[in-house]
Amino acid sequence: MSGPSLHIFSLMRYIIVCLFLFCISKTGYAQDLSFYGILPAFSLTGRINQKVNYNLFVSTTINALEREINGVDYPASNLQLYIQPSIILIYSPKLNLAGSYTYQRSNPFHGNYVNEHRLWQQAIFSNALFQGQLTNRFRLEERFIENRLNGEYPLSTRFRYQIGFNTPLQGKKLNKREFYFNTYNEFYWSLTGSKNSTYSSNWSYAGFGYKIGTSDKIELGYLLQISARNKEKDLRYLHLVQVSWATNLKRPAKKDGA
Amino acid sequence: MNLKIISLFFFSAFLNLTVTAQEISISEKKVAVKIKAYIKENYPTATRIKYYQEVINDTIFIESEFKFRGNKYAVMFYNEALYEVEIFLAFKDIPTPAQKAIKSTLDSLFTRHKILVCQEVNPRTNLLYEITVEGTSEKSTAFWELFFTPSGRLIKKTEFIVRPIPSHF
Repeated sequence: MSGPSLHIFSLMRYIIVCLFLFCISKTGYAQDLSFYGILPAFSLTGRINQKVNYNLFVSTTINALEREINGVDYPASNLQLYIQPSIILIYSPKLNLAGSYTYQRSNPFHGNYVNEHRLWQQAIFSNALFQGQLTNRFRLEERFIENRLNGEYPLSTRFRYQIGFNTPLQGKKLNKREFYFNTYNEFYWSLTGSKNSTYSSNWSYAGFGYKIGTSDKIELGYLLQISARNKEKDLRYLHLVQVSWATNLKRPAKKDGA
Repeated sequence: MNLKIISLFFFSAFLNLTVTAQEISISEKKVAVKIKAYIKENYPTATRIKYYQEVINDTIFIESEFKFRGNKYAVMFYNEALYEVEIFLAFKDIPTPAQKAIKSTLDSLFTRHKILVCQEVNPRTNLLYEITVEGTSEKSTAFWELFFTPSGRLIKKTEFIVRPIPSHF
């Protein structure tokens, strides 16, 4: 099962990177930058009622290696703090709707920090593929990014589309003490407001997870974040090792309604 | 077949005792010849055949999933003997009298409902229809598994929890 999906992922990733480079390609000398780091993440999901769930997702992005590029020193530092509480409506087992207020702080422990308040709405569709789950996620974001010069928070909007695939590796269902595979690619399009490029970012991820118990999963994977870092569309490559822990507060239970 | 084991399984499933289950996929080579022969004889044109070992309350079952004549099948074996057959089908494929009775029951249970999955369980021996629905009653909506007899009489109704589709960042 993992063979064909890994092959598809590799091919998909290659095509996406080529497309991304082609779309924002330019003549002249590239000033692309690469950084390497780690991204710890935590996710807590709980039930409000049969159809409504809540989720708290917290992560931080750390640039782990100090680098000097073209005489500019890029120290190892915490690049971003991300706090995302959201409400999820299970419209059907194959369609979930969600909304959130998200707080993001770039360079959180430095004087040049930038706060961002974000609202978003999303729809995520899930379909069975092989023995796994193919997901298509559409998200519209209203971003209020702090302008440190005047203290204002102008509105900008962004649309994100994520295609993902996850599959248990030891059977058709993911049971406790079993491994699974998870991969996705996400396209970011800046619609309105200040932007470096319309197709502004692309994230590719592949990781393996392990279900510890009935409610907890841990996952380790590689996340490549590519983003246009200036109006000249120079790119920033962020190579991250993502370590995540996801837990469910409400254990799955069956109750007799007869 | 070991009747004691089967009785215990049905008792636990129908009276809602805690059932622990764990399944893993297994290669065809590890499946007993008798089981493979049964599939070949009874479902000669079966395609996409997969095998799983399922452990339910310390009892080992072998399950085979495949496509046969346009429908998805799940056939379970215990001690190399047939234990349970499930056929996924469309609601419209259920015989009309049973279909009408089931629909009438769903209308009486829910103000609004949508049939998500429909299965025939043990069609050759002790036929039951297992229907998964999203149903609304008294302003709350939930997901249910309902079991009906061949005549369309409801014998069990169980609510089940649907977890959100994983989505981070």
